[in-house]
Amino acid sequence: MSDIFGSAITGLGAYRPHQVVTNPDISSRTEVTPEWIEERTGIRTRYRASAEETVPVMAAEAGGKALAMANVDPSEVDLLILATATKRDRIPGGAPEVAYRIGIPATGAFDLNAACAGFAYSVALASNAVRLGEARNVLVVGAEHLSEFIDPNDPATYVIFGDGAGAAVISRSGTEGIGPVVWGSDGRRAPILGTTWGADGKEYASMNGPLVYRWSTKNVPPVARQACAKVGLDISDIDWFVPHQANLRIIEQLAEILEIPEEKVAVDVVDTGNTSAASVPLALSRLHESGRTRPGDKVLLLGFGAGLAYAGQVVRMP
Amino acid sequence: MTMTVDQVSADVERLTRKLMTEDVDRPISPDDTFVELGLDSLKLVDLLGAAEVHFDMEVPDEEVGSFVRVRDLTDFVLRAR
Repeated sequence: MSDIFGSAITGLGAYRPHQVVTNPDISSRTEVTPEWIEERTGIRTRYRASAEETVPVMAAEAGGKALAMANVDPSEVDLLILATATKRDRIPGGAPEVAYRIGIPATGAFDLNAACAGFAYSVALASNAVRLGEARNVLVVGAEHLSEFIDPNDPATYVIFGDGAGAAVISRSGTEGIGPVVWGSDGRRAPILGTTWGADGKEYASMNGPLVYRWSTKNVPPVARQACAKVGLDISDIDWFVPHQANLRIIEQLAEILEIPEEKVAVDVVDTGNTSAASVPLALSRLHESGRTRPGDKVLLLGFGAGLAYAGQVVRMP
Repeated sequence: MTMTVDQVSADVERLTRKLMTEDVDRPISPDDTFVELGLDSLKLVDLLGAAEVHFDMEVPDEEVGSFVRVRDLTDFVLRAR
């Protein structure tokens, strides 16, 4: 039997595409007003990736930054997990290309599709690999090119979803920096969030917003409490709450139910939109970049969405 | 506990008013739509959640889209109880 090591997040990185789409941009070619968009979603801007900014390209950009922050050489990465649901081609998975682009030699690499919960699932698997000694460092990237799956005639999805990538390095550590995950799924409700085929033969994101909101606000808060309990904490002990950036209404409602004060809640959705698997690491990176956090701060990560699938854990801020 | 139609109707009106943010003192008629009262689809979900707790009942997912007027919720509560 091998020893169990500690694991911790040692680096974070983000990539936001060059093109910014504002609410007035959307209003100029649809029937919805900027006020309607902001009132219902809280979103003011979202990023649209170009054809060249593919999922692996964006993931490599974010991943490279995370490795730099962690001061980990690519040769020291033993596993790469790419959380994505929107890579253009189903086969091959994108993780090997991400590794190649960063210059990580012959690492273990695979994609993970748990949609908006993908990053939290990936952090759990990465942490376990490190703890068991199977990897010294794991690069976890959440990356999405959702705009390729958006029907421009469907304001419910067009105004919400954006593109981008966020990454974290999970490294062997002398301390426990990543708590046990709480994860689960509800496949009975699979049809309320996913993709469907349009009359034009293209695959488009489709969402029953009210039912997603209802499920999230009913079922996600207990996951948050359980994730804290796994590390002997109460919700009030948490320094920062980084939920999936679904839309501002869901984030605010979750915070209210969990009684987490506004100043502890990471809100990136206003500027970045909902980027599915990329949303939690993008919000975490932005929070770190803000300078408001200190190393060791207790952060509750919470992913939830299509599947329906959810996962959450408490981590220490690098 | 059995509630009369008037009691359920009054409670539904009270729960609805709590979620209104504009013109909160306006009279509420059973025939008013939730949209007319300023409740969008997500606020309506909040209202259904509050009604589930208050009336100790469950609204199935399939029914969520069927609540258009205040009367629809009152009728549902009376059927469910």
